[in-house]
Amino acid sequence: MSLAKLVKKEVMAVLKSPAFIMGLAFMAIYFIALGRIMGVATEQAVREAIGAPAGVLIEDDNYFTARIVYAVNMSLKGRLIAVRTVEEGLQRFLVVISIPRGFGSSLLGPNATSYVYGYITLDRASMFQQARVGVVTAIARAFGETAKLLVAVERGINVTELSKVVTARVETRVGSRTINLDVLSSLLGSTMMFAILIGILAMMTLMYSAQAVASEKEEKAFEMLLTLPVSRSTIAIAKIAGAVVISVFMVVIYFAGFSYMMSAIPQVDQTTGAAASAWSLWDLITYLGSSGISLLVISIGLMLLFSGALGLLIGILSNDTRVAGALAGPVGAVLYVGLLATQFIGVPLGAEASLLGATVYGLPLAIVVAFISGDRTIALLALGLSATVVIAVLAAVVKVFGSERILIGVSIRRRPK
Amino acid sequence: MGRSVYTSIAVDVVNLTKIYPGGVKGVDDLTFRVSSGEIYGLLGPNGSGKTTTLRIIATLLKPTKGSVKVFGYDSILNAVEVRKLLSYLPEEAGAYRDLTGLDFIKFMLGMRLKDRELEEAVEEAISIADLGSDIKRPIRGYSKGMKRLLALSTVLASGSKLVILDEPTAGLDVERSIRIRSLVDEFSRKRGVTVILSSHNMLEVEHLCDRVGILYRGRLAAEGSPSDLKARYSARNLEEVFVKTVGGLSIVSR
Repeated sequence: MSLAKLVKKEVMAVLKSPAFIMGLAFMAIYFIALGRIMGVATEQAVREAIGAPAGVLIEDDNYFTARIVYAVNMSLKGRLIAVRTVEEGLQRFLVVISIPRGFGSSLLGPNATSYVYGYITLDRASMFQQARVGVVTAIARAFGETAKLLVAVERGINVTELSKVVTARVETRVGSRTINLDVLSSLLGSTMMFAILIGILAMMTLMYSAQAVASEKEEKAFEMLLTLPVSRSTIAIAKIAGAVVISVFMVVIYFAGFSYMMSAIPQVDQTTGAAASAWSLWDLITYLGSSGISLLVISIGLMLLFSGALGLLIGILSNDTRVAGALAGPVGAVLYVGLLATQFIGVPLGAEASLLGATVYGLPLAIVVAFISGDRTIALLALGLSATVVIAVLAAVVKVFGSERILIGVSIRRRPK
Repeated sequence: MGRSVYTSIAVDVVNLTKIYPGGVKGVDDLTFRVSSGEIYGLLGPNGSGKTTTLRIIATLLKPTKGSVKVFGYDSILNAVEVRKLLSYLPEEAGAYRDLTGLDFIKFMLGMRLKDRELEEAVEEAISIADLGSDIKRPIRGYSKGMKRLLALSTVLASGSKLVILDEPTAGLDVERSIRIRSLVDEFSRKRGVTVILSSHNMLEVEHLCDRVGILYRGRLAAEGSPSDLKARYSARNLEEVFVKTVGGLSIVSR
């Protein structure tokens, strides 16, 4: 009996807190909205890829090639439509298959192997945009199977004596640039990995600084601090700097631990391909070069500064540590889950990517996109946006420090009946 | 903003009104003066405006109307100057859990003093706090009384001309309360430090304060030296004065 009462008290004590309820309600609405957006994006990507026609560019005038293409098109129910150039094809279709010169003759040659090129345009990178890649692989497979049969007939041998005869090399068009698919997935994968790691730290910084100020208020040491003969903005700046220093400690320790963990895992066999290379931060580092790395380091700094300042703001406006925790949790989760959601919604691989900068947490992604699409202004714009947001939050912190809100907090009061 | 000519007046509170967001009136048109070197006590029931008044003097809150001057400096226009002159002990003042008592003393005093002065003040604070070897232990292990003495030691040793103490002995045992009272008395008499304190403890106020202001609903219900007040209300002690001034208006919540 008394246990039930005690449990009830524990639950009620939390449930009665307006901050907790608001945080909970906000999270629910946020996740529902996010779920809708991600669902629609996924549906759209899958729908457009399935059964869509594909362009085919035949550069080989071999009779054998013509036979293969004809047979493949039959098996694909006429999905292949001839195009004159890759560019023209990509304007009309999601994917273009290019049959290079010498395709037919090398199939008939001693090695009996050849390759096709697959071209896709990526305007955004997400898990479900991979559907386009799927279309290319499916068509390449059809070419492989058909070619195998025809090569066997031509040579008068059993088809089982032939191994894989056609391989596909997938090139992606991002803006005006062409980039190999494996390289692209590796870059985006490791950027995400990087963002997730830093995101965890940024979230911890946010929680830590919110709780630190709130507990300082609870211990009343805060009031003694505020009556010291220094200006409020000095105290505010010191607090932000303190939060950043602590999070930098955390970053160093975490990254050291993480790199050790990664180095302790034995190298994965190269033939397994993309999965092994998709998580290599080293690829990212070599691709970005020193200017890209400096931008990433700046983005780490901005994320930590942002989190620290946001945490302080939450801590100052909360009356106690419980409220601070109830607010900091959802705010951090919104930023973090938003970052993860970009995997589903898709990272725009164009100028729109700079808008990611406004979330600060999305800045590293925007920087990598800028490098992939070859448009550095995206990175600078995103950086500018992030910096603006961070400065606005810092200004808010300094302003609140100068006001009485710092002591009396923001209370959510019910109107007396 | 120079110093005013009333240098003998430590704190000048004029028509002070404080209305909190939401419309709650903390202080209502309050006026009183504290002379330099005086120990002034604010008495009153919970919610009568004692803490609000002290916080405004300490530059923590801003008045809605009226003004506060500390040794001639305006508490809003010259907040940093005012803070240089005063030290504030909040109600139930705690300290940073994970610092040691000594760290806390060094930090608080280090924000006001330096070099030789700082060293001397730290020594003094250590002797006021009287925590023995516990001074080098983390504050999280301290009892309420130990924390209070630690916080008070930084306030008294700071060398500030004005010391504001919000319920300095609330919740402490008799021994510690007596020690704190004698310390406050000593600092006021020997060093001419001006003290404003708030209290629920009538005995404390009666024995320690030169003058007392009785606050009720943000207004000054009575003011004077303990003996004056007793005579005026023909009361045996301050408690009776308190009940007679405030009790007619409402039942004192205790």
